[in-house]
Amino acid sequence: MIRTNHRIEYDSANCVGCKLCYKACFVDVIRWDEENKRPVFKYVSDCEHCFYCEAVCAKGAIKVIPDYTSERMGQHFPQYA
Amino acid sequence: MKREDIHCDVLIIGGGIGGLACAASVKERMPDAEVIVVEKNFAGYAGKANRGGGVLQYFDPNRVKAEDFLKFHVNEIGCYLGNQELMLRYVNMNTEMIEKLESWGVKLPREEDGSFRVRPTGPMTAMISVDLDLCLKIRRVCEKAGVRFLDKTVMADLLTAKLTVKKPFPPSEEQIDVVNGALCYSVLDGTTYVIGARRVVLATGGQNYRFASMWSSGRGDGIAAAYRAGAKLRNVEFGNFAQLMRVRSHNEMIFAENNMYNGKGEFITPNFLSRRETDINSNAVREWYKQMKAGNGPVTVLDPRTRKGSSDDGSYPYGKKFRELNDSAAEKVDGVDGNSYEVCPMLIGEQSPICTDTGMRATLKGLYAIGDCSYSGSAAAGAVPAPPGRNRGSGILNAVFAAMVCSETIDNDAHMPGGALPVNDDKVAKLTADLLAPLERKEGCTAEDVIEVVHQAICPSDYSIIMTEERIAEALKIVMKAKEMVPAMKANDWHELMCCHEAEAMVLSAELHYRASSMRKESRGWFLREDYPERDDANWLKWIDVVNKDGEMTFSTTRLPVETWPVKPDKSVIPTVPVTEEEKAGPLYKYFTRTMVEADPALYSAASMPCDPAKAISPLEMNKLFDEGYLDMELGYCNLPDGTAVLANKTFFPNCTPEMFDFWFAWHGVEGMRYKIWNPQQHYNVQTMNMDKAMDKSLSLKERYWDTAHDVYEDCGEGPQRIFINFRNPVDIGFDPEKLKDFKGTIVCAGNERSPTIMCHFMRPVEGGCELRSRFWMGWHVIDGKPVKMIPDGVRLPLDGVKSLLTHNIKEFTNLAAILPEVYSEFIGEFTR
Repeated sequence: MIRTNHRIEYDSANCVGCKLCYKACFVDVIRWDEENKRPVFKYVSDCEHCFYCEAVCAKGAIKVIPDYTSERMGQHFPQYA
Repeated sequence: MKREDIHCDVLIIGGGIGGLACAASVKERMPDAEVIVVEKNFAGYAGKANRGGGVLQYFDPNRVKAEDFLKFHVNEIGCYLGNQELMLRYVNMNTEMIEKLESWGVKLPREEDGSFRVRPTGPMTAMISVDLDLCLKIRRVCEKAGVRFLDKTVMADLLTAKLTVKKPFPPSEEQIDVVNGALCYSVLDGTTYVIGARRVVLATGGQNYRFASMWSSGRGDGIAAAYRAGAKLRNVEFGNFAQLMRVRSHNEMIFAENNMYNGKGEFITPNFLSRRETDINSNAVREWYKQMKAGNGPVTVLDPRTRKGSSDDGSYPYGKKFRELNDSAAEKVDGVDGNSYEVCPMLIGEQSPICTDTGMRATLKGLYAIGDCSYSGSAAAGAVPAPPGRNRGSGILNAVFAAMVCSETIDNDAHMPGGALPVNDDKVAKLTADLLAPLERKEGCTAEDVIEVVHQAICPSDYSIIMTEERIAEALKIVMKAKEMVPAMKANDWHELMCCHEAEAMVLSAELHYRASSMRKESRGWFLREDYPERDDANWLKWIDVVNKDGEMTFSTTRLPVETWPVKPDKSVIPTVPVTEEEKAGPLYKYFTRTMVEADPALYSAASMPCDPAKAISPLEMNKLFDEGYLDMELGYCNLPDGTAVLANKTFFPNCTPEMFDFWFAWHGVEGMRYKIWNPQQHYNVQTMNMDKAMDKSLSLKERYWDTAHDVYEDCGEGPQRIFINFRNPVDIGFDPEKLKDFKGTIVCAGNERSPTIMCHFMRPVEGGCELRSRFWMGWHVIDGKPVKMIPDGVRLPLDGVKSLLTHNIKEFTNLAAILPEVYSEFIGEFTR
């Protein structure tokens, strides 16, 4: 899905810099800031809301908030375009 | 820009389950091999297996016979388009694969008595849950074994080089393309990696067009790279999988097709489904479309699942957390009160067309393809898109299967030519310039712009699933618009550059899909043409192949070798070899048109896996065939410890005598039609090269074929081939003259100082007829009356051809046993008097 409005909420205060969210992302949405040991949510519109980053975060510092209305269904019927 | 040059033995592109399982298996077989895994995200987290269903298909060997499942699959799912040999092997390797995963540390639930905790899913199938951290476990195994990982590294293109090979017959030289590495780059900083490799394995997943979220990250990069390099693709038209999704949350609804209602509240499932099937088929999508078109929408589905804690037995913590997050996000928009959901199909894709042989070799030397990038291309399952391919639970195991088979092939190919060719710097420079072009452009469109257009062409179900010639043309026009945009794509960073390459691969996949779909004028399995609604076995027991010839998309078809497979479609449609009008008018034609007697499918099944070499005999031990009783291996094939290969087959010839068998070999080389009736589906022609001897009635039957040669044209499952068979006196190839004196049977054998194979058909009388025990020893000459190993030490012959020959042997001798007594009594008179 392209050009979506999904959001990722991130709580830096809870983050321990374990890097797992960065590794878990299978579509290169999350990058890693080596200097500050923190994730960078760089390409959020590419997010596929697989929730993997949220699932692996032991500190609950990440929340994925999908906006399903920004995803298309791809059909010719206008209600499912 | 930084460039790093690396060399390795085996380069694996893709760090999902297939790539990881392959890396682990290669290291188990070849511990000293340098193995690199390149993954554009993180190997262990990347790919589809760890986001999917978390299930392994299980066949209880005490309950399900492999050939029964094969029959079911061929008839109900693959619709005859699948390679039955591969499917049989997949089923037969089930326990081995599951135990292999366990040995890699993947935790599988077991009952108190130690048996697997299995959930039955149908009369033949069952599933075992697997937690979604399985890929991480295998990555750890790989790391311990010394596999090097290049994460966040994108494969841009395959590297190829020209190799001159000598062909033994007719003697000639030929230049072939060999894959010798890949050009890759870091998505983080653009470092270019020029990786030279003896073997390259593509494990890059299928083509999912970046549409239905969460399903897969497969963008078809490997497919496009293979195509650009010149590898053949197969079954490109079977890459149009769609799933019914909830309209609000876009969550997939597995088995929703069993509970569909239209806007009037009518139960519409019976309109397209007479009984519950293994999984959704394209008819469900068509029914949804019909209802919508008729103004009877929206289509809704009663959720058949128990939503909470359905399979929570505590053995699944990783997957459980993941699933809960998904479900709770979906429930927020779907609503939690009702259990009825409005649905709409969404395209998932799953094109997986890199053509391979049964050893997972692509058509370019040095290149292999496994998992979702070659599922259709290997023809593993037939007329269905990539896993699950209407075979739920088969996705993870198909990848593990292909990986294990591939590692065996790479091990077997270790000494074949084609490895370690130097990387051509000019080629690297050209590919690098192509690679970086989008970064150089000041203006242009984005990858997303191109993908939008591809989506317009490929996502609507009335384009890619419920097809007509007219709509295919419409969709193709849109694809061509996207294709025109490709050279104008612009990228601002490495991530966007990766997206540009993915977009280019999507355009290619969509074009391939529609061009091949236009060719296939029938409906079969998932493939649905409204203008050709029937399955057409008479014309379409064929695969559509495509290859890039100097930039031209060149399509052709390959006839399925159904005659070598155990499960047959309607016999009337199995093609036979051509016969002339003259042959039709002759006395042999009645044998030709007779339905071929088929071997027991259990024989093919038993012959689908290599045997224990300890049980086989080498040609130096051929006199053991005179021993009473049976040897350890009477049916099967394997490599011998010295790297040569052997196959064995046993056929009962009812009411037959050894003389009849000698008659057959003396008689059939005289006339092509005599050879054709032996196997009307695979024997094209024969010509004895010693006609005088064959026709000399003063000689005994044996003398009439000893020291003669047959020039044979036959198809042993890999296309028609010309073969020379030099028949010999058994004494001249190493049989003991003393033992032959008292022998009541006959031995038809061949081999000489040039031929690479010793053939032996050892026939002895038994109650009710004769028993034929065949042996083919590959990699052996006969010199001065004795077998001599001809291949160099350390070389191991590949087994694919050996297996095909065994299948062919079972087939041809089963039929010969059925016709020989009758042919003998009809023709022995005129042949000898």
